[in-house]
Amino acid sequence: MDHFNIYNKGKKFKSVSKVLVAVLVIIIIVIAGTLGGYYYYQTTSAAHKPILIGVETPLSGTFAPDGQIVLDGVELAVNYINSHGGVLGHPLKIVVEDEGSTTSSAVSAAEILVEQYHVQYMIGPFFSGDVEAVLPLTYSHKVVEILTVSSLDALMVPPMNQYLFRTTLPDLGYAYVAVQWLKLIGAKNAVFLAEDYIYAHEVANETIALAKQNGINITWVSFYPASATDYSSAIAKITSLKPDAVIVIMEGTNGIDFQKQYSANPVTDKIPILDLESLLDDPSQAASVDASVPNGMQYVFLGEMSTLTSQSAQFGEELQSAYGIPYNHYAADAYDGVMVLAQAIIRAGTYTNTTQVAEAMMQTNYVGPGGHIVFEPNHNPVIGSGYLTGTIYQTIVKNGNIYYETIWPPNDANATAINPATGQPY
Amino acid sequence: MFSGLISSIFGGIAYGLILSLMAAGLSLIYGIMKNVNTSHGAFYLIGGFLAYLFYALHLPLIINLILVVLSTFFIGIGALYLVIPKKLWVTLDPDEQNIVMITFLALATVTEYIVLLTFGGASVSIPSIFYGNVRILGNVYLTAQITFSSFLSLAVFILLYLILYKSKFGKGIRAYSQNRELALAVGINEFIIVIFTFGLGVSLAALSGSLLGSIFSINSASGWDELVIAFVIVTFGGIGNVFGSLIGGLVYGLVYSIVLYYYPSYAFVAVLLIIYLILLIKPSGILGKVYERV
Amino acid sequence: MSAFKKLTKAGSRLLNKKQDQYSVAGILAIGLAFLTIYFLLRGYAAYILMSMIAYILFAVSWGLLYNFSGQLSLGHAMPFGIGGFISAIVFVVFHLNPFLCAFIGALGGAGIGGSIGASTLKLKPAYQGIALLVFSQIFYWLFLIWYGEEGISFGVYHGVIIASISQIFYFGLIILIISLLLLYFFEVSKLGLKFKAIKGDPVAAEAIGISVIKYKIIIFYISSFFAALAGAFYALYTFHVDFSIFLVSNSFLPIAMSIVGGPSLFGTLFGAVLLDFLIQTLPVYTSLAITYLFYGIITILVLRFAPGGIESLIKRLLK
Repeated sequence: MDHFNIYNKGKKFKSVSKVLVAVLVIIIIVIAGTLGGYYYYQTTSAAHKPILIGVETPLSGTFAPDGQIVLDGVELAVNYINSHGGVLGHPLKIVVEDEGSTTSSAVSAAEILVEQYHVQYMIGPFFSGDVEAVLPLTYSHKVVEILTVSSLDALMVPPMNQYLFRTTLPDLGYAYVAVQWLKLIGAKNAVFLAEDYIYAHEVANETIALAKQNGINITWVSFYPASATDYSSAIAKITSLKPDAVIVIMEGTNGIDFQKQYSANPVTDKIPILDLESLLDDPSQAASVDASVPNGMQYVFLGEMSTLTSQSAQFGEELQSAYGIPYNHYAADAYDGVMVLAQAIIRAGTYTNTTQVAEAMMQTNYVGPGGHIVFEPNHNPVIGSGYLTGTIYQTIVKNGNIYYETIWPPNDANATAINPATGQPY
Repeated sequence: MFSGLISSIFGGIAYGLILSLMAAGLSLIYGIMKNVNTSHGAFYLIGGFLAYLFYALHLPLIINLILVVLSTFFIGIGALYLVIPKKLWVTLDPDEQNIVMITFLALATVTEYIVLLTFGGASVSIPSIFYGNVRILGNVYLTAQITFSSFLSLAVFILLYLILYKSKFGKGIRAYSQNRELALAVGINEFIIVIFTFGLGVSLAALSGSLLGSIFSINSASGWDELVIAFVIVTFGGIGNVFGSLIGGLVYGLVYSIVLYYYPSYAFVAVLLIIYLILLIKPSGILGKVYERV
Repeated sequence: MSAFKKLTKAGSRLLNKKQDQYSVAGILAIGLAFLTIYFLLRGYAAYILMSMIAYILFAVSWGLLYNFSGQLSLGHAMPFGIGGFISAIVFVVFHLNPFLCAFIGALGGAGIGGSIGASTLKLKPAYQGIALLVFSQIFYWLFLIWYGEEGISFGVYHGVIIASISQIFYFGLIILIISLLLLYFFEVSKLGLKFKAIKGDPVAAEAIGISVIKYKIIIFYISSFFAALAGAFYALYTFHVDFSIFLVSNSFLPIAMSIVGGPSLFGTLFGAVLLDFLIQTLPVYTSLAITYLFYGIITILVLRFAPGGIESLIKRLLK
C-alpha cells in the first residue's frame, strides 16, 4: 500500500502537490462549465411559455409500476386539456422526476423540480413521508401541490396545507372502508395489523375511533417494520385471540407474504380478513398465494381506495387503449388531480399567482373517473356516499381461476359477501 | 396461550437451522483463508434469484437446488479469481485482510445492483413446492415447506461432516486450516483447497437463500441482514468451527423467535446487541477458539 | 506584541514549508471554486455543492481512520447517521439555532462513534471492520423502529423555513474549509507524525513507550466527529433524516471515495468530489443503480490494479 511519506521534502513532492491542486481546480472549473451550460440550456429553451406541471412519482424501486400509472393518468389529463385549448390559452407541460425509493431521492427530485425547473404546480409526491419531507421546500416556494396517492391526514393542517390539496381517499377514508366492512359482515370485534408507517398508525387510530362509534371493538393492534417478512408471531397471536375479523394494511410483497402465512394456518384461514390497498388486486399475485396453500385466496376481502362514477368506465377504456391497463385508481385520481387544478387556474384567471389559484381550488365541485371531488376546509376531499367512498371486493376461486366480486358500495355491488368459515353468504 | 409461543419457537429454530448453513460457509471460508467474506450476503442473494430463475424453467425441486449449488460454486470461484489477487487469498496481515474485506464489500455492492438492474426492485417470491402444514403438537403448526427445508439443511450438515471428516480431501482441508506450513510440506495442494473451500462456502450461502426465498420474499437489497445474522451465528458458534455454526443457528433461532413473539419490532436489534456484547466479552465466540478447528 | 502580529507570526510559522503553502492554497482554492460556482449558478447547483461538502467530510473522516491508524470501519455510516439524527432531534425538541444543532450533532456522534469504535479495538482486525458494520445495522433498525420509514423532517418551524439555502451553503463552506485545514495541519504536525510512526511500526512504537491503544482511540473520536459533522450537515441541507442514512451502501460510499481517490487528504478529497459529482449527474442519463454498480466496479479495479488510487496514477504519470 502507498505510504504517506511526509519526510520527503524534495522537489518531486512539491511539484506533485502543486499539480494535484491544479488538477483539482481544473476539474472544478470543468464542473462549473458543465453545470453552467446545462443551466443556460434550460433557461433559453422556454419557447411558448407552457405552464409547467411537475410530477414526482416513483419510477424505480418496488412501486415503480404504480408510480408509472400515476404518470399515465397525468398524461391523459394533460393531453385532454391541451387538445381543448389548454389553460388560459397556455398549454400544460409535464416535468417528471423520479421519487425513488428513499426519502433522500424524493427530496432531491423535489429540489430539481422547484429549484431547477421552477415549477409552480406539482402532482405528488407519492409517499406520505416524502410529502412531509418535501413540504418545507414547496411551501416556501408557494407551489400548489396535489396529492393523488398520499393519504396522511396529519399533513392537512394550517399553515402548511395552504397550497396542498388531495384528490384521493385519505386515511379517514381507509377507516371508513374498514368500518363499513365490519358492519357488513356483522363483526363485533377485530384486530388490526399494519406496517410501521405513520399513515398506518393514523388509519389504525381512526379505525378504532370510528369502529367504537359503531359499537365495534378493535381488541389488538400490531405494527411490523416494513422490512419484516416473518409474521408467524402475529398469526400465532390471532389464533389465540380468535377475533371476528382481521384488518390488514401491508404494501407490496409484505401483504403477499402475510396472506400466504395467514391462509396456511388452518385456524386463521377461517377468520374473515380485509386487505386494504394490497397487491392482491393483481391477479397474478393472488394466483401465487392461491397456489401456495390449499384454500389460498378463497373468500379474502380486498379494500380498494377507488370510487366508481359514471365516468369510470369510459376512463377505463381510454386507459386500456392508451396504456394497456384496465381502470386503475392511481390513474383516475391523478387525472382528477390535474383536471381540478386546471379548473382552479381558469377560475382564478391567473397561473402565476399560486395563492389565488389555491383559493380558487376551494370552490371545486367536480365529478371525474375517480370520484366526486369537493374539498373540506382542511383541503381533504369529502368522504361519504356520493363523494369518495372506496370499494370492497371479495375473491372467489372457481376451477382454479380467481374472480373479484364487488360487494360494496351497494350501488356497485354485484354479489353478496361470503363467510370464509362457512362458505355461505352472511 | 402457549401454543403461539411454541409455534413461534419452532418456526425460529427452523429458520435458524437454514441460516446456519450460510454461517457454516462463512466459518469455513474464514477457517481456511483467514479472511472474512463480506460478500457472503451477495451469494445468499444470488442463490435466491437463481432458484427463482430455475423455478421459472419448471425444473423439479431437487434439480433446482443442485443447479443453484453448482452454479454458485463456480460463480464464487470465478469471482474470487477475478477480484482478489492470489497473494491475498490467504493472509494473516491485517492491512491485507482489510483490502480483501473492502474488495468483497465492493463485490457485494456490484452484485446487488446487477440484480436490481436485471430483476427490478420489486420483491419476488419463489412459490412453495409443498402445500399445507405439519402438525407438531396441539395447535402448533409448521408449514410443510419450512419443515422440508429444515430437514434438508440437517442432511446437508451430515454431508458436510462426511466430506470434512470422512474423506481424504476433507482431511487435507482440516490439516491445512490447523497448520498451513506442515500441510504444504506434506504436499497438499493449497490452490485446490482454497478454491474448493471458497466455492463450497458461498454455495452454502446460496442454498440458504434458495430455501428461504420460498418462505420469505427476496429482493435486490436482501442479503445484508442475512450476512449480519450469519456473522452472529458464527460468533455464537465460534469462528472457524463449522459445526459450531449448527449450534449457533439453533440458539439464534430460539432467541430470535422468543423476542419476536413478545416484541416483534425489536427482535433483530436484541440479537444484534447480544452479539455485540459477546464480542466484547469473549471475542472468539462462545464455543470456539480461533484458528483451531474446522 | 499585538494580537494581529501574533497571528501573522503564527501563520507564517505554519506556512513555512512550501508543501504547506501549496496545500493551504489548494484548500482555499477549492473553497473559492465552490463559492464561484454557487454565485454563477445558484439554484440546483447549490444542492450539488452541499452534497459534495457532506461527502468530502464523510470520506475524509473515514480516510483518517483507515490510512492514519490502519483501522477499517465497514460501518462508518454509524457516526454519520448519528450526527444527522442528533442534530435533527435537538432541533425538533429544543428549537435552537440549526447550525448550533449541527455542532451538537457532531459532538454527539463523536462521543457515541468514538466509544463504540474504541470498544472494538480488542477484536481481531478482521473482526473489527465487520463488528462496526453490525453496529451500524443496530442503529439502522433502532432508528427505523423509533422514527419509522419517514424519519424526521424539520424544515419548517411555525410556518417559517428554518434557514435559507444560502445560509446553509455558507455554513457548509466554512466548516469544510476549517475542517480541511484542521485535518491537514493535524496530519503534518508532530502529533500527526507520531500517528504515522505508530501505524508504520506499532511494535517499535510500543517499545518507545507510546500507548498504541490510546492513539487508536483518539483517532476514532476525531474520525467520528468529522463523520458526524458531515451527517449533521447532510441532514441540515435536506431538512430531513431517516433510517436509510444507516444503509450499508452509505457506509460503502466513503470507502469507495477514499480508495479511488487515494490515501492522502487531497486524494480522498478528489475521490469524494469526483464520485459525488458522478452520483449527482449520472443517474440523470442512466440510473442510480448503474451509478452504484460503477462505484463497486471502479473500487475493485482500483484495489486490484492501482491500490494507491487515482492519486498514485497521477504521481506515476509525472515521473
